[in-house]
Amino acid sequence: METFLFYLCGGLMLGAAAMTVASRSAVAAAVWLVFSFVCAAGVFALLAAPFLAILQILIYAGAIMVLFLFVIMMLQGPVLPAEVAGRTVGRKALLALPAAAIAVILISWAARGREASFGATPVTGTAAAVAELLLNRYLLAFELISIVLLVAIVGAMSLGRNEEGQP
Amino acid sequence: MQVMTDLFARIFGDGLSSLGLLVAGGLTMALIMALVMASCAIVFTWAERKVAGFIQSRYGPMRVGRWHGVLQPVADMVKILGKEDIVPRDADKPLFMLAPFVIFVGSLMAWAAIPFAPGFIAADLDLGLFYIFAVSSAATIGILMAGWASNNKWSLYGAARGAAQAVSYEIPLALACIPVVMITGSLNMNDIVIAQQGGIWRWHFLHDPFLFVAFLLYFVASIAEVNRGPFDLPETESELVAGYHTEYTGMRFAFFFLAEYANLFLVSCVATAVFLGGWQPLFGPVFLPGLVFVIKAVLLVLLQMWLRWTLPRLRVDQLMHVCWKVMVPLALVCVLGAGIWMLATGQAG
Amino acid sequence: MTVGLTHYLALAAALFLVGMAGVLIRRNSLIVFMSIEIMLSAANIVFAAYSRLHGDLAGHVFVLMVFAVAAAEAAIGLAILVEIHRRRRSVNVDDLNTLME
Repeated sequence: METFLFYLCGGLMLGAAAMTVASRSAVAAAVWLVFSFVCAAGVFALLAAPFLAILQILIYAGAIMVLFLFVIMMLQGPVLPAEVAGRTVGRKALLALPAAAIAVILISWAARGREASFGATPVTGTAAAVAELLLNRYLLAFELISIVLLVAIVGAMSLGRNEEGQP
Repeated sequence: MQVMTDLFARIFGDGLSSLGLLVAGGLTMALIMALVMASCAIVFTWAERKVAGFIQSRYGPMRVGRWHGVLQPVADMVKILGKEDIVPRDADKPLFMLAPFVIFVGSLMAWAAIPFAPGFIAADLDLGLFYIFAVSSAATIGILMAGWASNNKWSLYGAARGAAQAVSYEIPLALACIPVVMITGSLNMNDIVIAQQGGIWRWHFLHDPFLFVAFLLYFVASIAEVNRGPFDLPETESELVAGYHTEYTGMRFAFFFLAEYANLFLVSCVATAVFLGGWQPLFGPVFLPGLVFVIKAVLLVLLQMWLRWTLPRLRVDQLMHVCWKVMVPLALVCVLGAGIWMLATGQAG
Repeated sequence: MTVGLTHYLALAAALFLVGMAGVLIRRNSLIVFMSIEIMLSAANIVFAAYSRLHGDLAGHVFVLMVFAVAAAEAAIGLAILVEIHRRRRSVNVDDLNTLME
């Protein structure tokens, strides 16, 4: 059952991510990405991380992708201008490098045939358990990340203003 | 879901494996929730027209059905199903077809974590409240998809307004629930309701003054969250025709409609469970829990209808002003105040 | 073979590759941005998988940090994009070469 769910969520996530990269229209790309993130929530749930799964939907699908769609709608017409084909060929060649590296890694793993299997009883990442860590051991990181978010808010506000100073 | 799996286990004995039980129970609960959604739409369209009629000193629907037009929603539904399914020529077809279902599914999934009665909850999640917010926020994507795919400027304006409003008002909505989570020490919807046992004085909205304010904030934000008057800017008839579902007809329009009324009932159900004691009666022992829950939620819905037909619509800038400069700070004050209150009265552990 | 760490690492590696392909091939900066988000979520899966392996929730805390950084990055990045579009009427990465010439 777990194997089936892993291949379902993982496969759909990967496929949707590939569609994001491949789609012509930015809106279609964004919608595929939302789907990919929803599947990622499934993967998190399989990894005994329900808190992360729900956050993934809340933050990515509910906030970040809405922001993306907003900006896409503000900036462009329904169909993107065709991308310049000639200049991408060289970059496609660039891809061979990381692809080869990752293929080598995967093949060597498969050849060794070893699987680091998980322990039988997972430590479930519930809200309470994660919060315990976040507010004790990683309190400094927690505070720092709130400063990052504050800076992001102020930065986005000041960048988003019109020339005339109208908000 | 426990109720359903137990029922199936009793009916089929050992005929079903645990996986089969899980799937059968889950499907039945999903079906029940879909029926709840459909009946919401049916009952509330009629109720809305009657409330509107009452407030505007007229009768509302009177003809279909013997008594006060009770069969009007059925007639409406037949009419909607009989309409031609139009997809505009220049629409982005896949997105246009998909959008109503995204909104519908977002709404349907959120129903899974509503505790109607002890044990009668489709998914008794540890993160129930959080889950509801997450899933219903994902429906915003559907609004944007619909507005964009219609390739119509009114739809696009409606969608942009709707999404901006939904994203903004989600923040006070969630913040207003945080004091309750602090008091209960749990995000599980069942635990939250059980913590309010023992009559009206134990209900969370009367727990302390900050929670009362939080309840009011939740109520106002929830009206805005479901895009209803006085916050119905995404579908202002006078400026935007009908907002993001201008181009939709027939079944697809019915899905928007269904999701709208289901969301209306959903936010009221969450308010009932979180602030108004869920299935707990005003006083005395638990009595007909499901009915008590539904009555409370329906009363909240009627209150929302009353507000819709009484108050004038806000302007867009006023809407954002109310959210970001009034409700969010106030909700933060409520969180802080409820925490201090808990410390002062010795409830904090 | 039961699903274990290696499966999740393979999934993450493949996702990272897809994201990297997007960054390298696509010229629309919005889609480049989305590809970066894909790469970030590949990293998240690795964090969560190792968390599961070691039975330690520190990985989950790191994923939370990545979420926050991703949100901040999207907000700032998209604001910059809007500003660039206002001035240049284009979001194509290849058009943004003033500093190159």
